[in-house]
Amino acid sequence: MSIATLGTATILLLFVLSLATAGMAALGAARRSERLIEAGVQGTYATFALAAFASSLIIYAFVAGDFSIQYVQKTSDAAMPLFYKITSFWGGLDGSMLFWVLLHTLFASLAVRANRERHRELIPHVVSVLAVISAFFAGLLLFLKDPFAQYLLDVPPQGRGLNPLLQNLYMIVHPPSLYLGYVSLAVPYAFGMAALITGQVDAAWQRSVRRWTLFSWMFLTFGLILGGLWAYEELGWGGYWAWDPVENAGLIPWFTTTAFLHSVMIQERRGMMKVWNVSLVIFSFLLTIVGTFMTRSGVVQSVHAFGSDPVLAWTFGGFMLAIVVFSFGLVLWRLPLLRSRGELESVLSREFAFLVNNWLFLVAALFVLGATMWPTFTEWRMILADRYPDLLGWQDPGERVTIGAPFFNRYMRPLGLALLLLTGVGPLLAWRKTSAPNLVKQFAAPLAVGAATIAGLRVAGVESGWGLACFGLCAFTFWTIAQEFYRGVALRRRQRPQSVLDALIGLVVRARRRYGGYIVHLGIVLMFLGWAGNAFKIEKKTTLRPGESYELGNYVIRHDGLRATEDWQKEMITAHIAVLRDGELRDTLKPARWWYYQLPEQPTTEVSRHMTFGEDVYVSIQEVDMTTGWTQLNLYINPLINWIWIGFGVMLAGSLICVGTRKSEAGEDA
Amino acid sequence: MALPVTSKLIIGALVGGAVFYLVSSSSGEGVLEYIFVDKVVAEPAMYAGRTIKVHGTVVHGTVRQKIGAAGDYTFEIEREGKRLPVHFTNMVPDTFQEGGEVILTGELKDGRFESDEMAAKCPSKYEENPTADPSKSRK
Repeated sequence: MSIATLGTATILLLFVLSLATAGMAALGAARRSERLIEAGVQGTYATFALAAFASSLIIYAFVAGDFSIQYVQKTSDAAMPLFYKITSFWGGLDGSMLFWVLLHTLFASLAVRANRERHRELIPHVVSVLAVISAFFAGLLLFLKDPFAQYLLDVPPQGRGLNPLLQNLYMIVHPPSLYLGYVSLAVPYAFGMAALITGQVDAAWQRSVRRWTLFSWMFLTFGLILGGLWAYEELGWGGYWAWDPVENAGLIPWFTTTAFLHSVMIQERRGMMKVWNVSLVIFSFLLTIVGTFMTRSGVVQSVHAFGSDPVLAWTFGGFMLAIVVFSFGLVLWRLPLLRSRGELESVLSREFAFLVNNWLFLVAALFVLGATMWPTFTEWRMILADRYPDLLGWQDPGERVTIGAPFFNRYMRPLGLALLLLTGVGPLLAWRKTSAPNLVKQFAAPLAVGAATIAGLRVAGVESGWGLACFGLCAFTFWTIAQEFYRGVALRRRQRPQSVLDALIGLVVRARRRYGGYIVHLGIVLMFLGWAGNAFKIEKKTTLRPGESYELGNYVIRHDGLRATEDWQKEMITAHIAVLRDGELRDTLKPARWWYYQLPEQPTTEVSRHMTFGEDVYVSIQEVDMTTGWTQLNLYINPLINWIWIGFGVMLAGSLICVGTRKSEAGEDA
Repeated sequence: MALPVTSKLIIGALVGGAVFYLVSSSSGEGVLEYIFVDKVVAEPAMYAGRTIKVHGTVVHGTVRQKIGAAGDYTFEIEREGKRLPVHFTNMVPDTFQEGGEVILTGELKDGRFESDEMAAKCPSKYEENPTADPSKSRK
């Protein structure tokens, strides 16, 4: 049997087994049959084993160069390094779907294994919901996108190769990281549904999914940041985020997941917002499907959409509709059980701050979703008007529109700043109601620091209103966090004499969730600092011959010559660019253009940058003329940009501290 | 909610005011019409004098570059036999090539499209579309 036949057979088996697992677990729950439930649990593990087997087959086909398989032929070639051959697995549409199934079944197995004793009532329903989802994706693989499909006639002797743009480390880590975040959100969803089905809608199910959601959130964040870094370092346009539909698809569930991580605390504390929380879990999962739909079906135009596929689009559409009907049907059915126990008592309470935070995140998610889909809606409007001229009497179907970055920025900027403000305010408010003296004690210093920052920068000549507001809010929020740490450390040292560092470590370890959360917030502040730097960006284009110089902000850029080299994969032209400041050489940058033999008509731009904490000098080259040395240069100064990546590192550290929360302190919170 | 009515009113007014301000002061920046080149050529008067996006294929052998200038190109784009001359004043992206599809942002002036923003698409970039119908193909 060939690899391809074996692979297709494995996927068929995976599909059938997923359906059987879902059926057994559901039946087991209905009949209270331990044996059937156990069969469902084992079925979950078996689907993972099958997915792993199918994945290893496709990887084997890549490594062995089996070009009779279409997917292998289209996304790899014999000359590629082994590492990239393996990662080609998720480089295209069909393989990325199989990768999705692999991760999904892995998470399903882990989640079931971890919770089967603790939440015996929920488990059969968790198993069936997760199995239905894997059946859907396995079915897609089987009927629409078989990665093992073969060429029936005329097997090409050579592979076409992976796009050179995708052959770098970010592209290997970025998609799997986003997938980890995306796919793992199915687990909280399954627990939410199980809670609704069994009627056990109290905080228990959320305790088991809260840490899981944090894990998903961490990977989503990681994937988004890596995507930004990739764009920044590879594409050579000096930016990292362009509100492209595929980027947005990752960001939308990030918003709802972040909202959930906050609002779930209110439910734990006060027994409020139960409908809201379960809805957020549903939304987050649904949005991962919507995101997959947007990027995989070609419905939305994007630089990195995978090509158009109406059948896939309709299939996804049907699946999304089924999720909505099923999930919100359950919510409606259980509405009486989901009543709030507590009530909002004051606007000066942490509950209220969290509530506003949730509204803002939801607005952000809906806004980005709406704006991303809008061009598609206008296109559908044209198609409808064209096909059914009498419908609704449309005289003017209008034109298809596109929505660009300025539109997103206009609305997201104030929204982001409002969220930054809440990042500072929320944690300092007390539950229920903050007293007036407490308010002064908490906010006097941060407000003063924020105001002083704005005044200081204004005097120093900063004029951008958005920049000032952002810096002021960063200072304010930073101070609220610093103040919390300072007070905590001081208290510990009063209780028992110890060094500041000991007290700090003790503080964080004792209440990981609280202080881990503060560290995440600190990371957010640093990232906002980086975004604020955007207001002061310098962007120039120029043409230089060797020996010529150009003034860029406080720097002088000097062209020191061109070098042409080649290796076994590509030809390269590298410019040597000196970066001088105050007459002193700071760095020699080597931006380049690479022509892969496999795709010579599509050279890649290799960016080079001089990095400091204050700013990046970012250089890429365009057209070059080897005889005269004439070189077109794109020059950028990106102030504070590296704080985005640093802030992300801090955020990651903070979330790792939170994830490491011990069970004994799960109920403990500020 | 047990909040006093005045609090609710104040919050409502704040939120409503902010949204109203943002929407009413919007000049529609970032929102552009997206039109295929044959439609522009057929009815130039409908589209002249404002910023739009135009989608077409770069005609082979029409690309000229002004030597010594950082990004100054002329070329023609076409769809279904209708051609439109373009003057492009910026660096072109890596994926720009003759015969490739481009989406240009700019303004129609005296029968020529003046543009400084381009998204170029390459058919082989991510996934091949074997039945390439330009009206249905994706960037």
